[in-house]
Amino acid sequence: MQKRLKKFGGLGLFSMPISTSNLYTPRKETVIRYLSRGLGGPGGEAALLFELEQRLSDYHQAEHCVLFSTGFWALVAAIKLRALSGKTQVIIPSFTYRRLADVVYWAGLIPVFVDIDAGDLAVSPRAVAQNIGDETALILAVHPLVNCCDVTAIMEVSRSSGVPVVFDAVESAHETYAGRRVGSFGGGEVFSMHASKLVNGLEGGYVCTNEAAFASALERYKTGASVAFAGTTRRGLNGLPHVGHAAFALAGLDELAGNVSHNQSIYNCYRKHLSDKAGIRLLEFDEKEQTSYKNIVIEVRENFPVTRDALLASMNLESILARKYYYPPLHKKRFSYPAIIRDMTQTEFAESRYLNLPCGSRVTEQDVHTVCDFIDFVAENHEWFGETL
Amino acid sequence: MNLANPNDIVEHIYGSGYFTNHGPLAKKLEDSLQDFFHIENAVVVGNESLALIIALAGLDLTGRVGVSVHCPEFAVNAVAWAELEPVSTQWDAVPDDLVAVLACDRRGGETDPALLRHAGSHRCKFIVHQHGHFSRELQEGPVITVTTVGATSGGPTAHCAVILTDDDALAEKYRNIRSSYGARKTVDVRATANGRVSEFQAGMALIFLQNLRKQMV
Repeated sequence: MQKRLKKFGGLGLFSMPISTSNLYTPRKETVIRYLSRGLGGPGGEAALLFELEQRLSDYHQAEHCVLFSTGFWALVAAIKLRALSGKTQVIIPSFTYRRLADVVYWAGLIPVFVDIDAGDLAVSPRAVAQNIGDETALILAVHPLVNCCDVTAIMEVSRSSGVPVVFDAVESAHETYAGRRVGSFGGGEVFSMHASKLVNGLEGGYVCTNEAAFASALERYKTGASVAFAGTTRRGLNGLPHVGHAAFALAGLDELAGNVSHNQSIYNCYRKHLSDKAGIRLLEFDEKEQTSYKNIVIEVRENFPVTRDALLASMNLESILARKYYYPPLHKKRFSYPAIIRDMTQTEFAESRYLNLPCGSRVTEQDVHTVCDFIDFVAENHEWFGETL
Repeated sequence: MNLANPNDIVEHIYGSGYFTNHGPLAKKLEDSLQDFFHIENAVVVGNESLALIIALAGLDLTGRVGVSVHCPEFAVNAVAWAELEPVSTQWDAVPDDLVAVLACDRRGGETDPALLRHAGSHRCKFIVHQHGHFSRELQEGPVITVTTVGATSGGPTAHCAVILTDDDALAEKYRNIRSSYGARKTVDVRATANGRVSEFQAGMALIFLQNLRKQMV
């Protein structure tokens, strides 16, 4: 191992960097076939976009699916329409997607950062409940990279408080919660079709809901028109989807089983190799539920010989493009707009411990062997790899 | 790079292996638009509404924006999205307290000269929204132009939009608001937004531009 490492003058472990993005590439011929239909004449675009919405509704077991140009603007739309009129604040986790506070800003509201549950790294239902106040307009619950947030508890907080909830389900497109498909819970669940997501549409997003009036409001909103919904009128914004992205997404949906199967093999390979490594804990998928096995996350614990950051730096040097898990947490960022920070005890404990490891369609089981061997090498030769605990 | 039809774009994407947005085709599109318009900076954005919002938000203004009477509803809404107050404005009755003017150009060429004179004399920013057409003839002077690339309706068939400016510092702000996967130097902005252009959108816009050039020869 040592003589292959760039750190010691070797050629490196990988000729091409391996990353944490899913980057599933559907068959080119399938994309072209869908594209030909979408661009093939009058009505082609609308028909292909409608077909994708139908496929996604079926996939998520949702009554309605509304396509958008991106997941980002789909989230803004869902928040803006769902938020209680006259209220100003949206409760979100801090340990999440780096632009989520900006999503809330564009919806014209103030993010209130709350803590996570240490067990699942998802927003804590208790923290949500404790921080609902007179100005709370919405709960934006986010499914974490591995498994789901506590949907039952979050929905109960929403029901008892009267504050609506929107789920950011970007990382849980294929999952079930309590045996029920994410996307089928009714209120508003938002997904992305960015190239790094499970369904690669190059770009795009969508909202699933079981409420016809909400779906109708979203449809109107994304044309840029003003929309009357839930007793108030909101300005819309052009969020129209692109037919080319629909062609890629449909091709990706056709091959979803193979995509998930590959992810599962990568996950099993990591599990086999990491199960007995002192100081490393693989976050396990709940296999009682349906899951995409899309993200590989480890915790670097106190008994691993080097810190999470030192392990990451050593990996990156060798073209293993692991990443810190949602770092920095949002409450540590500087904002030019108002943001409110609540108790962050669990988030601050977790922020220095987790790593996303390479995975996705471009990573092979052999790559996983090499990554895990490298982690072993770092542990055995920790004095060469900097900061120790 | 020869892109004759949408299938060629798919071939190109698979050939480059670049599936995420703001890739080589998007960069090529920005270069081509800069060349086409003889302008220093072309910042491509996902659609016309986002381009207008980013064009306004990057100016870091507060206050009232004069909106010419020909502007469509979504352009007026864009002013509000950028946390500014839209004020309907005619050439013969321009309020004195405007911080910017958004003029709609539906034909190409010179736009609302009285509004432009007012902007110049009151040192307020001037944004031209080319709507319903794609014209190489840009308004002269220190203006920012927003136009759709690939279609004239701003509807689903529009490929993307572009913000055109000779102001390098302002363009860098626009790229930071739109976001560029950290490929650009970081500039402080109020908030970022996903306004990036996919490789497919960029490819379609490049074909549109190629065809336009052929027609012009």
